[in-house]
This record gives sequence, C-alpha cells and structure tokens, in this order.
Amino acid sequence: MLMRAAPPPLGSVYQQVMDRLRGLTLLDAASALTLFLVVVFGFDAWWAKFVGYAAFLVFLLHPPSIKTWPFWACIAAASSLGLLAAWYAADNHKYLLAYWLWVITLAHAVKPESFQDKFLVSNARFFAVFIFLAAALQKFFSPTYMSGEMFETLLLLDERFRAFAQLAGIDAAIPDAAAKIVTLLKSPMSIVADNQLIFPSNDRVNFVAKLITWYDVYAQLAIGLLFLPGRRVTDLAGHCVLLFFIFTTYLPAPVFGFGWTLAIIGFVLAKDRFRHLPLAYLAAFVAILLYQAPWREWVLQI
Amino acid sequence: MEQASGGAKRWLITWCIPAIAMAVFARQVYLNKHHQLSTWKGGGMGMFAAADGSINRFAKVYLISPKRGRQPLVRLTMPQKRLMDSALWYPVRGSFEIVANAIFATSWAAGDQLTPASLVDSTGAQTGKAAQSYYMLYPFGTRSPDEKPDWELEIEYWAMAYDPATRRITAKQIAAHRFGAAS
Repeated sequence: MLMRAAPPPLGSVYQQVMDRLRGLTLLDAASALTLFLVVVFGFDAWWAKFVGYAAFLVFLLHPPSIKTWPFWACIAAASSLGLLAAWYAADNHKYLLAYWLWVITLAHAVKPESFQDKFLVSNARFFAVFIFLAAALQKFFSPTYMSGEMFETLLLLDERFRAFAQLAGIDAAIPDAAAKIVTLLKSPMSIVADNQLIFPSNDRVNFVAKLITWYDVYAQLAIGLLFLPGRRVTDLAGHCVLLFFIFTTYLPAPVFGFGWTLAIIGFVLAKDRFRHLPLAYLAAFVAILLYQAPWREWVLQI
Repeated sequence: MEQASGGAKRWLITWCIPAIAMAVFARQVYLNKHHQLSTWKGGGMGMFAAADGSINRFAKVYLISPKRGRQPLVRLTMPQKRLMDSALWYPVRGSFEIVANAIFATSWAAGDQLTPASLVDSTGAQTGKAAQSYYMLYPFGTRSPDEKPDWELEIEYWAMAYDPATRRITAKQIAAHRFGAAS
C-alpha cells in the first residue's frame, strides 16, 4: 500500500526558509540577488548584456566564481561602460545599479573577511539614504512636481500609467483627448493660437495626481530620514516604509530593476539585524516579478 | 600607527563609491540647472521629480533649401527618432548634432502636392487653413557620402508646461539650432 507523505505544515516551511536564509552569508545572498538583477534587469548595451549572460553561465558551471572579485569587476566594468556610452539618456536607477555592482566587487575584494559585511552594510545604508533624500530634495525644489503638474500630465499622457489611471476611476476618454491635444501642439502642421490649448483634465485627475505627488515625496523623505541614524527602532520603521514603497510603487511604475535594487539594499540592511524582515524582502522580490504580469492589458480590456 | 593607517584605508575604501555618487549627483544638478539635462536622467536620483521628461519635451525639424524654402520633417526614421528621443533628455547643440548628422545621411523625397497647415483654436478644434503650406517629406534611403545635401537643417527644441490651476497646456520654443551638411 502506497503511503503519501503529508505536506509539511506552513510553519515548518516558514522555519525552513528562515533557516536556509540564515545559513547564507550576507555577501553570498547579496551577490546572488545582484547577479539576478544584472541578468534580468541589467543594461541595454549589447556588450553589457553579453558580459552579464556570460557571467551567469560561468556561475552555473562554476558556482564559487560568484565569490570572487574579478567575476564582479568584469560585470561592473561592462555595466559602467554601458552607462557612460549613454550617460545622459540613462535612467537614474542604472547609475544606482552601476554603483551597486562596484560595491559588490569591492566587498569581495576587501580584507579581512570580517570587514566585508561592514563594508556592504555601510554602503547599503549610504545608498538607502542618498537615493531617497536626493529624490525628495529634487522634488521639493521642482515647481512642476510640487504643483502636481508632473503626475497630472503623466497620468493622462504616459501609456504606462493608462491602466492605473483607469483603475483610479479616470475616464478612459480623457487620456485619449489629452493625447490628441498634445499631438496638435507638437505638430508643425498645426498653427495653434499662442501655442496654448485647454487640457482635458478634470478634478478627479487633479486629485489623484496630488495624492500620488504627496505620497511619493513624503514616503521617500521618510525612508531617507529613517535610515539615517542607524538605530534599531528607526531602521525598523525605515524598513516598513521602504517595503510599503516597493510593494505599492512598482505595480503602477514599471521600473522593475529599480525596485529590485531597492529590495536588495533593504535586504542587506535587514538580514543580520532583524529576524523576520528578510523574508518580507523576499516577498518583495516575488511581488516585483509578479508585477510584470500583463495586468495593464487586462485592465484596459475591461 | 599601522592600526590607524588600516582604519584610514578602510574608511577610504568604504566611502569611495559614495563619493563618486555624490560627485555625479552634484554634476547632474549643475547640468540640470544650466544645460537642461532632464531630472530623470544623469544620476541625480530625481526620477518622477519634474515635468521635464520625454512627454514634456519635443523637437520640430525643418529642412531649409533654396528651392523649396523651409519644410518640416514630420516623419523621421526609427533610428533617427531614437536619437532624437535621446537628445531631448540633454537638449544641447551637441546632442542635436548627432540627430542632424543622421538626417543628413538620409535622402528625403517630397510629395508633389503642398499640404496646408491647419489653424487650431484653444479647444483643439480646426478652424481653417493657414497661409503656410508644406511638402510632405519622406525618408528615401541612405545618401551616398559623395552626395552633399543642398539644404540645411534647423532643429527647434520645445518644452510643454501645464498649469493645473487654469488647465491650459502651453508649448514654448526654447532654442533653435541650425546645421549645415558639413557641420
């Protein structure tokens, strides 16, 4: 008679994942997550892609290679060249990725080994503070951001936000009309009086835009400030806001590479300091992958 | 002493990448303020921080020839469009020159008929035909390197601004760059 083994209880699976996570060193875990980032959300330049794929192949054939600094130096150098080749068209998160690759490279190169984790955590903390405070600063000093103009035009004119706008209750006809207006302004075949047109926005669009504007700037400011002191309680609050930011931002904003990089930084700061938080970051990684489902198309088809 | 120098070395190693990030940030802020590098690009971490992205910036391109006057190029090839999109993130003459060179490397064919421009009122409704008429120009293969174009190129850089209070969107020409075939 065949006996079917009962599935392990959920608590036991959780414990196994926790044990497995605890068994990984901080640098090994960060390296594996960063290699995934390079391969899946890396640079567009062909040579950077080639080096990323080749490095992944080397890792599959010889896993210890991921623990060596030359392995990471090759990836970091190719990525940096990819960044320099298109420096003014490269997104800010590509800069962050290039910096982070050099952080991982140096983390594998520094001696003694006991200094590696400290080096990694110090840099992760710097970038958590720097990215969010720099972003908040840029937003506070930007009149087109603080007025709500930026998100209002984005909601109506950016294709990537069309499904989100629809979910937020914005009539689908409004973005269509807005796109037509902008086409007229841009076309040399249209002579528009004073180069000025009435934009078909409404109170709802304005309200949603303002809500996103304030949420975005204050969430970023909070994360930057909370990670600054390095105390356990502020770190805990910082992780909560950062996780909330990752879970909520990268659903409408398809900048998955950025979300993944932020999750790695959060994971590095949480892994050896908090018991359960690293698992929340693993959930964030899974969420970022899930957000790539074609949900926009599904919403737009409704 | 050795311990102190070891500490200094560790400090330097720890903060060398952050120092580079800060320098890049300062450069981005400078280029943003003085040369209109978009907030979204260049390492200033200002993604979603200002309405100076690809939606709010655009260019109008004109071919200027002694025979046909000033004719708009309404249809760029895909590689030229990509170069233009890239140039608009950092709209200085050098960026547009790369686009201009790509346009000079292409032959352009004009349709037989002139198309009048439309007059548009503030609601976006067409109110009539303008006095200006243009030939529709189409890309027509690659120009031979020996064949020098007999026209010049003007690239106008425009930016759009939206006022949420009045709900009006305005386009403003920021700069115009003229290029000869030899530039």
